[in-house]
Amino acid sequence: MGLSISALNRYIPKFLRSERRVSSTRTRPVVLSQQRIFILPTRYGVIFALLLFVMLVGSTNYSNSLGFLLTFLLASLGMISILHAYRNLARLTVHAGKAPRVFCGQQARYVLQVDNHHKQNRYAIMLHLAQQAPVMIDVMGNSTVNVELTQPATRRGWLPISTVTIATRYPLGLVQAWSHLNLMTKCLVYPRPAMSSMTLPASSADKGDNKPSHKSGSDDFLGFRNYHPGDSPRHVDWKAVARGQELLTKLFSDSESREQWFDWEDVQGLETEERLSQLCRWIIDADAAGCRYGLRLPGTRIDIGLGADHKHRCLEALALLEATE
Amino acid sequence: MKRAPAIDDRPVSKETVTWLMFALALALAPHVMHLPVIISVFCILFGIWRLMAAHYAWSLPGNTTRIVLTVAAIGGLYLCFGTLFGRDSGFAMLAIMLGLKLLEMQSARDAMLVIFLGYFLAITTVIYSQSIVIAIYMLTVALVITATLIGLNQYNQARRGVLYIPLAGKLFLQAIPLTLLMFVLFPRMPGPLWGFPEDTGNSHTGLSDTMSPGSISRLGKSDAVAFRVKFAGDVPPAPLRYWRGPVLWYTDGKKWSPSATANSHDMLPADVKYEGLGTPVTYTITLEPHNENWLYALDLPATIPDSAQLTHDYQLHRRAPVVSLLRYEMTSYPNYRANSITMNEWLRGLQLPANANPRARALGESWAASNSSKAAIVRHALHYFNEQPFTYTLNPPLLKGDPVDQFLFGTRKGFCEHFAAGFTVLMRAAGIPTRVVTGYQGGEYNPLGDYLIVRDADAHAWTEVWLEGSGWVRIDPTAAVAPERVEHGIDSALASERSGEKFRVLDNDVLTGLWQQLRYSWDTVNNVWNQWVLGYGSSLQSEFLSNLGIKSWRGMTLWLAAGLGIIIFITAVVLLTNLRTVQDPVQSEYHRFCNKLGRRGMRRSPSEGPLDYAARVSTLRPELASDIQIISKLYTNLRYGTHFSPQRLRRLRNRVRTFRP
Repeated sequence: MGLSISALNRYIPKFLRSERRVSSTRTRPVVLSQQRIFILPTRYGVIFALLLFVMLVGSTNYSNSLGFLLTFLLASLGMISILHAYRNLARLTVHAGKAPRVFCGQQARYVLQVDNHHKQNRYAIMLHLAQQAPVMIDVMGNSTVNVELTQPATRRGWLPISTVTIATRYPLGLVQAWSHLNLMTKCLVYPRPAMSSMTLPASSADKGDNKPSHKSGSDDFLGFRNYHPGDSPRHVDWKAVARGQELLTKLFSDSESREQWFDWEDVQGLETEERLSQLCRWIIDADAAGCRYGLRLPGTRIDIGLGADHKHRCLEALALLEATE
Repeated sequence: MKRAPAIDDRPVSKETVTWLMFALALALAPHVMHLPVIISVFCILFGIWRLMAAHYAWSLPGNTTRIVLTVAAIGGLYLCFGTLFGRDSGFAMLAIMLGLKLLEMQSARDAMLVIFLGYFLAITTVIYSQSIVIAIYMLTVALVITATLIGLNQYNQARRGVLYIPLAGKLFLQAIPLTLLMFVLFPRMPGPLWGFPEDTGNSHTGLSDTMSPGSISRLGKSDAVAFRVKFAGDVPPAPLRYWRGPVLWYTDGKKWSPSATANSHDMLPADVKYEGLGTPVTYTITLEPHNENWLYALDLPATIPDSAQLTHDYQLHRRAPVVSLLRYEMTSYPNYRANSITMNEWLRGLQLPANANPRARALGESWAASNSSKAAIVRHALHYFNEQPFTYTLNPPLLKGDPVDQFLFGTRKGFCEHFAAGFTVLMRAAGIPTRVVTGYQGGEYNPLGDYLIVRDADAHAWTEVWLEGSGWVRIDPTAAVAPERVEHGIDSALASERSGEKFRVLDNDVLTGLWQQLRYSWDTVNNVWNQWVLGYGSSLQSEFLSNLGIKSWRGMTLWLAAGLGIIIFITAVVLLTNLRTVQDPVQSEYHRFCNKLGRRGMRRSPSEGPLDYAARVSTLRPELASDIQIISKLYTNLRYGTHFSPQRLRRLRNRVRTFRP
């Protein structure tokens, strides 16, 4: 019985798992049944049929019984392969799983869990989202495979997964069995962080340095944590990268006194999306710098805080802000 | 339907290339002896090149090289065949194009096309032979090609191709019922669809429609089967088994042919009435393809098979040559009175070349002068053959000059064609219209299959003379010299000459008997194959199906569609019920545990791992916590741990059974 690593992952205690937050919980699984599976010949199937026709005409012309026999055998193989392609998909179960939050402009990644509750191995199963390149998996008997499908995140807010196509041409490639799955999962897309930080209005800062992201190395160095998208490149430990290690972000201790409010009103004179982008950049930079910050948006206020949860709460507020204009 | 472009462009794995080359080599092998050597050599070289490219990163030829090779190949084919559109040149073209395609095969898309061409190449083998051995070979080739196709479509090509053979075999087995149904019910049209197919190469060289000294004795050593005959009733005795083939009228003194001009067969179906005597014989002939237009039938045919006609001299003649196995039913009258003759026949029956065979003519004329009746002349001639020192032999000496004179008055050693030719010249000189009939005589009875095997060695020539009052009468001058030839067949007449090489090793009677038994068994298998597989064409199909009540094409199509539907449905049901859920005992125990909690309102969500779930329900029902922890631990150990033990499974089962939330 095969068992994938990702299936095991589900049973690892929560605190050991990656702390990446998940936008929505799994919804009802989709089981592939008769009503959902469609079958059409591929273009190879059409070529194969033409070839069979030529063989048939040739056999007739030469009154060649053995020719007929082999032509019919190949035709029967083609028909049988329809059943096998169908069976290769039948009764697979697909759950829509985790969709980690992303920033606008990145790829939204949806994790689908494909369960095979049967003894037969399912080979060459293609899964893809509309207009996206397919992912090819084998699901061995009585096992589960997790597949990550991506879709570009072009707008902030909730991005529901588009229709998933699950298809197979196994075993002969002559026909394709496929099904469209409408899964209920969505990914939260944060605004696109602005490229460069705008100067913070002095009034919002309590004192001194108004650019949290410009913290120099003079602060006390606290340690490392894993790189998160949006971390300021200035705080990436590039030496470690050069040594071939993974991306790490340096953390610095900041004085308690340095608190920062990011206010909707601070970014006047820009389009809504640009304002959100700017706020997004500030939040990322502040978080990277370990600065304590709060957020004020029309109708929303998030108190001063620190840490990953706080950051995500702020970014979520940005992502879901109603476009007022 | 969305097509994923990346899928078709994926490169072909090494393993797939290896299997493909193996499959194609198998498909090409039977063609090698029919293709020009140079084509085979190039195909093999291209295959090796592609194989090396896959395994040792040899570079494949660029566009220019390929175009040059293609042009060279087409030019070469044209030089070899003089055309590009014939059948053999078509096969050669297919082979060489397949070879060239290999050199540009990069993606899975190319490989699919190569595999299809491989199927096509494999199936064209049947043009050359349809024997059982070839059929088994072709099935094997198709199996290997299919396994390659499965491997290609498995994408994850790390698995070795040999593993696909059992799966391909399974597909073949599942395809057999559909294949048989289509074979039986698919409406067959009588071929050919266009023109007459060329020489199929699988025809054996049987009788020709000309006769010269040595042309029939040449066949005397061949054991190839000419045709097989199944009689509806008793098998007629050997002396009555004259199988009529081409009738020869015209002679230039050496060679005999149907008529003076080479290709005119004088096929006007004249008034061919004759009077059948006694009871007719009904039988079915399965004729091996001989690539000629005539059919064989027992003297004299009373019925005419489809697509054939009866000529004025009682030959069965067909418009198209027999290029594939032909099965036809016949009725004949072994005894008959054929007493009609036309002026034309009379004249042709007396034709002799002006300046040839003077001694034979003189002898014939002298018999005419000394005998009162024509019948007496015939009797006299037979006595002459019987009493003079004539010898019946497969290896007659070579005849020079006037062959008939030389044979009659010189060598006096001959095979049936010598006797028939000599006798006819003598009769014609004596003024009796005479014609030479060629065909087969006798045949070997196969007691296992209850049918008659007529071999090339049974080829024979005899004569028919016209006698006033009796009509055309069959006279076999060979019988006057070697009566055992007609009574017991050629093996007993020429036992020493024919069996010389073959049976010397098998002097033992038991071994000979065993050998004979084997020969009969193998021939019986071949006969069944011929009758029911190869002979199953449009005529046998309509005959067979009308016995089942299916009389029209419409009926066949309907039954075919219904049958296909039913078989596919049954196969689908079998395949899908086969798709059963595995009841892993560990998992079913755990499910039972979850269901018990679920009934108490603590349902496990599908995303919840067993440890998460255990932690959650433990906080909800602290009094059950220890049970829950034990069960969950047992379960995760059994399912994900490395050591499975039946004791642990039993403990899990007991725990779950006694668990009362």
